[in-house]
Amino acid sequence: MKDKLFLLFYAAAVIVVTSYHNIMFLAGFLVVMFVLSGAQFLLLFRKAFFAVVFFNSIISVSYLTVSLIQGHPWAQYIVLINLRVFLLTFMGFFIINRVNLFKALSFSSTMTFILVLAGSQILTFKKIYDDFAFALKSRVIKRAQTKDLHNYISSMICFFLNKSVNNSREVTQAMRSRGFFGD
Amino acid sequence: MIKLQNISHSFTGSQNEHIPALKKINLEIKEKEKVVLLGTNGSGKSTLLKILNGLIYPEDGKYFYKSRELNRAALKDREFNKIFRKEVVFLFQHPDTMIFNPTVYDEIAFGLRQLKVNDVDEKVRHWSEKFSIAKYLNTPPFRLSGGEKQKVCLAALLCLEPEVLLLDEPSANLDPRTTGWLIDFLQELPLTIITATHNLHLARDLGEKTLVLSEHHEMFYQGDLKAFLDNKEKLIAANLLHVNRH
Ligand SMILES: Nc1ncnc2c1ncn2[C@@H]1O[C@H](COP(=O)(O)OP(=O)(O)O)[C@@H](O)[C@H]1O
Ligand SMILES: [Mg+2]
Repeated sequence: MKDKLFLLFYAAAVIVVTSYHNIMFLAGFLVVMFVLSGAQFLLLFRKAFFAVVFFNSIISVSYLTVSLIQGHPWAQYIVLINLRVFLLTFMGFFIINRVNLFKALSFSSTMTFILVLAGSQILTFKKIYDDFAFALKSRVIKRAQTKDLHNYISSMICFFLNKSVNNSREVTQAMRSRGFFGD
Repeated sequence: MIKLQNISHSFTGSQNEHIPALKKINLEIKEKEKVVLLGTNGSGKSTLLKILNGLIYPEDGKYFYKSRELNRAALKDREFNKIFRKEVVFLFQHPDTMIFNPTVYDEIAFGLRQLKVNDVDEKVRHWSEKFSIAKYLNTPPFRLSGGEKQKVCLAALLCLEPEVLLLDEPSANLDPRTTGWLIDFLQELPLTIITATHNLHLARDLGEKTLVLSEHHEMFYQGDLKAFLDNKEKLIAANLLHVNRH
């Protein structure tokens, strides 16, 4: 029951955070989350920061460039989007440490099934991702050059794009085979 | 050459649960020994190879490579790290995770260029011919089949003239003919070789000695490979063999 309540609160919070566009409100919400996270604050902060920094930088820089060219105001939007994405990510990590998703979703066998699928996909991807990092570490004798890192990152992105397309096709076929779509 | 003392390691799962991978492993491997690391799926073979390659630091226990303790500090030492990375090489289970260079040529030359050897070109050609992949030297490696990718990776590792070769399930991506070729090739390589596999058919020709991990991640058997493979009871106990009732 505790897990279900937690998840319900989380879902409500996500709706609130994505529908209010007030910066002060979001900042206040973030501070409350910081306080609630207690001893885990630093850990969650770091996780959330590294999770969003890449994506957010790209979005912010592209938005900034376009706005400057077209002469739109940009500050408000950039602060808002960064704050919101960070807050949602922080909340995500906060909740995942406290809720047993299997218990929280036990009311629906469909949800549990999807959760299992998603979980196993994430685990497979994480293991392959780890192996990419390990393989580079293993093969670098002195120091990788910028050119090598560039090649490495692009080949990894291609691999995961291909793999996720193939995987989702296969998962869909497996689900159809097991009568999931009822068609 | 390689010595592990009481090595234990575990992982943390997505629900923060504790996942043991290795428990109190002791072992010793001499120079030029060919060792087969057996164990059922999830018994900890890959984790052990990653520890031997200095990629994962075990939670507990000690690892000595050529009587120097291998830990974070040792690998931070630039000079030592360089020697270790050249001497101990690792063929990952999925060759995709290892390849990232624009051509097969660059893939093989990757390590050689870092070592600043003079005859990069000559070595790349020599090893690509040895593995019958010379015709692909200008091809992007990701276009190749699984078995060919694996040959590219092996060429890239062996051209460094390493002393220890670690192999993780090398037959998983290979067709029977290539597997046979690989076994013959490995038998004649004058290196210390540790091959992880759960494939018993393959194991017999890959070495003289075996290390067997149990389902509980403990060392189950250490010693003569042939004797172990002929011992049905032990094979069943290690979940490497299943006897049907019919
Ligand atoms: N990165 C990881 N995160 C969580 N668990 C892992 C990870 N790597 C391995 N494990 C777990 O550790 C155990 C040993 O795994 P592994 O060394 O890959 O076994 P093997 O190679 O013998 O199949 C397994 O239970 C596996 O699920
Ligand atoms: Mg493995």
